[in-house]
Amino acid sequence: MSAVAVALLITLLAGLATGLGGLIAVSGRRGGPAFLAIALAFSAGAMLYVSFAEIMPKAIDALGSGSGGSHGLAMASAGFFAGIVAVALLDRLLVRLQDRGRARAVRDGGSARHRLLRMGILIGLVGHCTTSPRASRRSWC
Amino acid sequence: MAIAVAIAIHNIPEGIAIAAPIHEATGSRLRAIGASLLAGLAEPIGALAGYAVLGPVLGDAVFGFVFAGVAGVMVFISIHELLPAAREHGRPLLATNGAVAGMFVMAASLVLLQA
Repeated sequence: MSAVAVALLITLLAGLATGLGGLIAVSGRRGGPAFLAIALAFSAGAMLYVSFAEIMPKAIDALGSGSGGSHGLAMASAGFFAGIVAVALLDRLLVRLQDRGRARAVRDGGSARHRLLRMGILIGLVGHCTTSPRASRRSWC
Repeated sequence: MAIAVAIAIHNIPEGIAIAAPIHEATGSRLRAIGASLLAGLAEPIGALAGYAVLGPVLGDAVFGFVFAGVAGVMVFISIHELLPAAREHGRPLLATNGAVAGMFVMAASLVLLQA
């Protein structure tokens, strides 16, 4: 099998693993608030850790390679905050779309139920760029 | 094999993170599984599309900025959406412990992958 085929097969497997996670999440009865709280916080912890321990070092390394390593941190930091600004705007857009759909005022970022839906959508949109360690330097999604 | 295990460790929690809130919000199992599967299958498609579009310009600079941006996105979502929602639905201690557990599992999977 060619390298590209192997890479595709691996990403396909990874995709199916995501579906398996979904299956686990809904198997049995509704997990209830405690399960949900743990699942959400677990994801947050995993994402925070991988962001700072794995993804940022890779970015710093890649951006520094052109300049002998001296500008990597500064440029990676710029990219980091650019990402935050972009997703904050996307988040606002989703809030606005939900508001319009429900035609009612949503205080404080929406009701808990709306927040859950919006979160699912957000994670779905960006989640796949997030599991970096398996990604080679040439594929991030 | 090690790669398959690492992938499972990384993606299963992600599927849970997508499906659990949608299940809780809509009450529909099918929609929740469908969303996680859709997100999962977007992966190989995204890999192909990304390679086709960015392949020609894919130098270290583009790669680095995309990665740094993704890190920012994930940190924002964790702080702005995931952790507040976790605290809304469970005791604060539960959220904290869950987050630490997530960090531990991620750290373990990174170490395993490195070996």
